Amino acid sequence: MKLRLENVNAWIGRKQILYDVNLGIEEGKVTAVMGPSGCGKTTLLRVINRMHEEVRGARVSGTVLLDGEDVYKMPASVVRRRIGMIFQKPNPFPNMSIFENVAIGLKLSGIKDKELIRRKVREALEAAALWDEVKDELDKPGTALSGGQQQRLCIARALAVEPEVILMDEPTSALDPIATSKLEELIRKLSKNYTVVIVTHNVRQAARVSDYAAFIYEGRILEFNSTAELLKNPRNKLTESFITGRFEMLREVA
Amino acid sequence: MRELKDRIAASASFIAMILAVLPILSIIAVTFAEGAWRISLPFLINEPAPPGQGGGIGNAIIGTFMMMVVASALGISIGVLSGIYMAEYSQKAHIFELFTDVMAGVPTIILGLVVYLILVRFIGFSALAGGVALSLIMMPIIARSTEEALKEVPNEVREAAAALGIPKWKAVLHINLRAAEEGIKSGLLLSTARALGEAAPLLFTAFGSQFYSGLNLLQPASSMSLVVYTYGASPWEDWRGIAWGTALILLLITAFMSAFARRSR
Repeated sequence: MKLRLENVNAWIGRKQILYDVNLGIEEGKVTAVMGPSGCGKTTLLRVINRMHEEVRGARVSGTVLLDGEDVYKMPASVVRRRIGMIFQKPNPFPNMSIFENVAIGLKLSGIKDKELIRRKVREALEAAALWDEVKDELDKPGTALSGGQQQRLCIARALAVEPEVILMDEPTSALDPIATSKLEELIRKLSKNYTVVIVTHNVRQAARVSDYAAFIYEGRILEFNSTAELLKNPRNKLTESFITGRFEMLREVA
Repeated sequence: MRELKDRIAASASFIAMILAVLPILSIIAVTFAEGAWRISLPFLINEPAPPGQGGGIGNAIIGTFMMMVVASALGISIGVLSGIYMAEYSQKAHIFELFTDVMAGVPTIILGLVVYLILVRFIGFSALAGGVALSLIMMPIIARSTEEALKEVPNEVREAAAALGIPKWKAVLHINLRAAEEGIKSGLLLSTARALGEAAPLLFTAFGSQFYSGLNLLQPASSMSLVVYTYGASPWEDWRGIAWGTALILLLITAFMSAFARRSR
């Protein structure tokens, strides 16, 4: 197991968001976290790389183990370098070129060798399937790219600092269908070298990209299994209704 | 009927707009007419001379330069840092905003008096004291414009930096400030233009001088704004001419800075 969450509870202010979450994330696989909006998917992700604590009034209990080591006992900056994150909305740094966007993480972690930086930027852009599209315009502002390209730029930026795990928070929610399928293809490719956890409310996306899937509802993990199994034979009624699309109806009745 | 009212409103606001820009147009016209022909190379490099013997504003240009260096060094460093504090760290920014806004509204002659009390009494009239007084004008403007520019930076940018494991101070310095660059630059330009034109705070601090001081910050110094103030009110026509020439130079510099500040916004 690359990551293990044990009895994780999370709060923002007085409001509890996660209840006793236990989850193992396997190395080199894509794990999808599914659930309706507001169920705690994003918080679950942000607990893993300690971004949760950036929110005022946020609190966590329980343990998150990365290779068996408690992330809450490491410096947050180390945890976040080992566990990269991609957000819902592409968020390249403003006033920075494509190159600088990818290089900044390296530069600020103290790497001075320009040749090394150039090589790592190229590798990251290649791994993010963006190099061929931008190799002749690395000086252009990152914000001038299309939405899908911006999101892949953000992936390259995360990859450049060589993380082991990549967390993705509904990474395609701001993208059009073509950019979405490109990104999904990329996610599959990334799982060869990285452990990926992806939050999505889209069942079909989970089916397309993930090996394992968790269904989370009102802060609790109701079901966790291989994606194929979870989608074929859901054991929980709520999971079943969610994946068959009857969820909203059911919730209205209840 | 409605159309008529509409037309009246439109023409009234048009006339008001003309009235609003008329002063600046006439200022430019008069200053050019009175000042342009007096500017020459000797005018730009000579020291002042008794009435009727020519003379120039060389020492005032150098004095302005020295004071602006001091004022910018203090004003920019303290101003930008306090802007960063208000935007990125403080939970009680509104209190500091109130203070800086009040400070920005203090009549500049009072700033001069304060610097007289706390500095000039000990080190004497000097370019240094003048620069300190001018920095007090720049500081609140820069602090607030830096703060506003940083607040415009979307929170997603801070999240992205934090998620890369970049410590906050590094992110502020290398990423947020960069994202806020335009707004900060325009604040710097506007505050510099403001300080350049101020004569009042220099009366009790830099005092004015008729001579080159050899870049000595501890000697009294003249400035272009002081030249306009003292020579403009003199009874001699050629001295008033020197004031006009100097006024034109100041006007051009500040107008360009303001225009540039607008463009970079």
